[in-house]
Amino acid sequence: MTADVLALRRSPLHGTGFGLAAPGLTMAEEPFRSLVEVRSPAAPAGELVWRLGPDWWLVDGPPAPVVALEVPLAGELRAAGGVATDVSAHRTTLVLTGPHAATLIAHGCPIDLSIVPVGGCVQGTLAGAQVALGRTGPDSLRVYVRAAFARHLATWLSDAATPYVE
Amino acid sequence: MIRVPCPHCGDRDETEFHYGGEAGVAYPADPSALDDAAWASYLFVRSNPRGWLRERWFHGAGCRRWFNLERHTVTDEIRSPSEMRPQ
Ligand SMILES: [Zn+2]
Repeated sequence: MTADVLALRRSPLHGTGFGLAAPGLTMAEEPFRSLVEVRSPAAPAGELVWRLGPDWWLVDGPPAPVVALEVPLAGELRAAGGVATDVSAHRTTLVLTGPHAATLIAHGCPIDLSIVPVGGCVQGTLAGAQVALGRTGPDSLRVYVRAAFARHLATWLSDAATPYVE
Repeated sequence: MIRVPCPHCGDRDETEFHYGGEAGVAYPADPSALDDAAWASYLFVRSNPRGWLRERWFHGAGCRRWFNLERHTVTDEIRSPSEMRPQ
């Protein structure tokens, strides 16, 4: 029964052909990530945890057939008055890597990404769409975009990447 | 376009924010005791200075927090941001 539900799932970029593998730039969607927003003064536990604002965190985990991260996180946070809410369906995740990744984003984002350290996250607008941008390495970024804006952003990224496709 | 200094995110473009009007306009303690003129005054009358004005701003595309700052209504200079405390 569960397997049937998973087979029916469609990511926001399903069927768009979004993706790029050029020497200096790769782009891909990582659909169905387990995303949980946490309200808590202290950072929650997790492999990928982004600070979205004061007392506000986004936990990113691997895809799962059920809501996997919310309940254990909520249990850990309850004593300190924190809360966790599954928002996996809220956004999809785009992964950009390569020396041109930050340059590409700079075409449509007024935030200076050079001041964002590895492990740091900023929220702002990219090509008019509200996004969270997390840096996982010197040349690798994760872009969390709302499902309704994903196709717009994917189209814009594919177009803006034209100079970097050799 | 002006650049708005968010106390949590740093300088960002004005388009990431919502403007909240003049800061420090307190909700009436007993609204039902006000006559129409006093209620209208609370709703609509602001100091509207030609110069420095304390304002509320909301960083909707970033940290989603309200905060105060002072803006010069002629030159758009901005100074002394401080977080808006809930009353
Ligand atoms: Zn902010």
